[in-house]
Amino acid sequence: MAAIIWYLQRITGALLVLLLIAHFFVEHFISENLRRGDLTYAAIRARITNPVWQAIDIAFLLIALLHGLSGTRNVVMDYSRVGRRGARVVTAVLCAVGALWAWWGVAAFANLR
Amino acid sequence: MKDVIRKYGGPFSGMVAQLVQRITGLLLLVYLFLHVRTVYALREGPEAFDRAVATFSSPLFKLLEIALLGVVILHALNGLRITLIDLGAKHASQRRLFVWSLGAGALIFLAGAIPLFFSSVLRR
Repeated sequence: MAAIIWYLQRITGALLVLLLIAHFFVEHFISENLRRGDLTYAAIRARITNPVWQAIDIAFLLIALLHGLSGTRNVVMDYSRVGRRGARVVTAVLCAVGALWAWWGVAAFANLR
Repeated sequence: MKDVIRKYGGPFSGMVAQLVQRITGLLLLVYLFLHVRTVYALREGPEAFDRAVATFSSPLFKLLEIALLGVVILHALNGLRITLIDLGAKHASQRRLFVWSLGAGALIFLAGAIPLFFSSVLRR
């Protein structure tokens, strides 16, 4: 199990590098007003109401949460002395945080005007 | 522990890199929280979103954005370096890998930071 999580951290990390490059390219280079740093609702809306982009952005968020919270678990485990039961509590708490965070992010795209 | 340190580089580079990786990782999680918070304002309509974004266009936040770029590059390149070592990069090439990732990181950072500084920080 630990080995799978360890490999998963590498795989999600590599995916995040690719997604981040794409995200940067789209958000900061493609359109003129975004390139100037004018991040307005109108400029964002055109892209964000497209279901394909929504799927990509949500996948990006989920992979980032998986990677970030798994990394947080590593940090917590390394600097604390918890037993098997404590480890399970830490995992459960981080899973709950991840679920709430994911829901929050997905909800951001719902019912856009 | 000793062979872990030997595996990832010199006597200090591995430990420092690991500490940097953890600190930058946690910082990026804090950023992700703020980012989702801002994007969530899309739900409340154009005025709320533009107001949320306006907070981040002050010169101070633009400087923090440049710092964020540095944090992302440190975390991403160090992570790729660790992955390459785990995939079996030879010991002799590990130090070269370290130097190369530092050099590439500095170049990417400057390529992003210089235009950001002139177009965003000095513009207002």
